[in-house]
Amino acid sequence: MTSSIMEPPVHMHIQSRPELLAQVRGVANAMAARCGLDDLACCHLVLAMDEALTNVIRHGYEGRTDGDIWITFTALAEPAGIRVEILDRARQVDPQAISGRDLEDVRPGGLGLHLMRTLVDTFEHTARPDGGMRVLLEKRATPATAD
Amino acid sequence: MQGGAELQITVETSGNATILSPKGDVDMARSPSLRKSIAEALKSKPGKLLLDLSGVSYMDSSGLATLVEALQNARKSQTPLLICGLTTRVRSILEIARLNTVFSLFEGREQALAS
Repeated sequence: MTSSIMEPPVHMHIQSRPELLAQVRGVANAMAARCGLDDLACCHLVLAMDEALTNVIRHGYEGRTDGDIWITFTALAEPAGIRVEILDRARQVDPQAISGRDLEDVRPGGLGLHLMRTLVDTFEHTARPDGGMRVLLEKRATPATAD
Repeated sequence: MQGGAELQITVETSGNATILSPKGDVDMARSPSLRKSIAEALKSKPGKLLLDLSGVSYMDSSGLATLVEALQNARKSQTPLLICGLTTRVRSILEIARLNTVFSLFEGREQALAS
C-alpha cells in the first residue's frame, strides 16, 4: 500500500454476465495500483482475474447469466501486494483434471490457465466444501531498484 | 481500460490493404464483434489485412484466440495478416502467450503497409 494504514477489503457481488467484466477490471486495476503494483503488474493481475471470471461464466455456469460470483480484493503487506478471491456456486470441477494447451501448439483457445499461472505469484483453484469453486490470486509489488 | 459496451471498429482501405482499427477492450464480451469484422474483411480478399491495435489497451485470452483464428483464416485465403500499434500492455500479453513471434508485428501503419 502507498499508505501505512491497511485498508479494509473491497467486496463485489456480480452475476455471471460477460458485459460486467469491464467494471470489475476497473475496480481491480484501481485496487492493484493502490496496493503498489506498477502499470504492467496491474495489467497482469487484472488479466489473471479476468481469465478466472471468464472460466466461471463460460465453464462453471455454462453461459448462464444469473449465476452468483463474489469477488474480494484484499491489500497485502510486507511485501506489498494484492489478493483477489473469487467464489461461485457453479458446477464443481476437479482442478487437477484441467490442463491448458502446449504453447508450441498455436491454435485458438486454451490459454487461460497458462495466463493465470504465469501472471500472478499465487494461483489456487479449489472446490468449496459447500458447493461451487474458489480461485485465489496473489500478486506482489516489485520492489523499486535502488540506483 | 475502456469498458464501453461495444467495441468500436473502424474499417479503412489504403491501396490494396484493408485496415481494421478496434477501439476499446477486447474481452469475452467484445471479441465476437472483432472476429466478425475480420471475417467480413477477409471475404473481400484484400491484398493485405492490417489490424491497427493502437486503440486497444487490454486484451484477454478470447482476444488472443480471435487473433490466432484470424491468422489461420488469413493463411487459408492467402491474405497477409499484419498487426501494428501494439500498446505496452497488449504486447506484454502476446509475449506471455508466446504469440509475439507468430504474428507479423509492426510499430505503425506506414511500416506495415510498406512491408
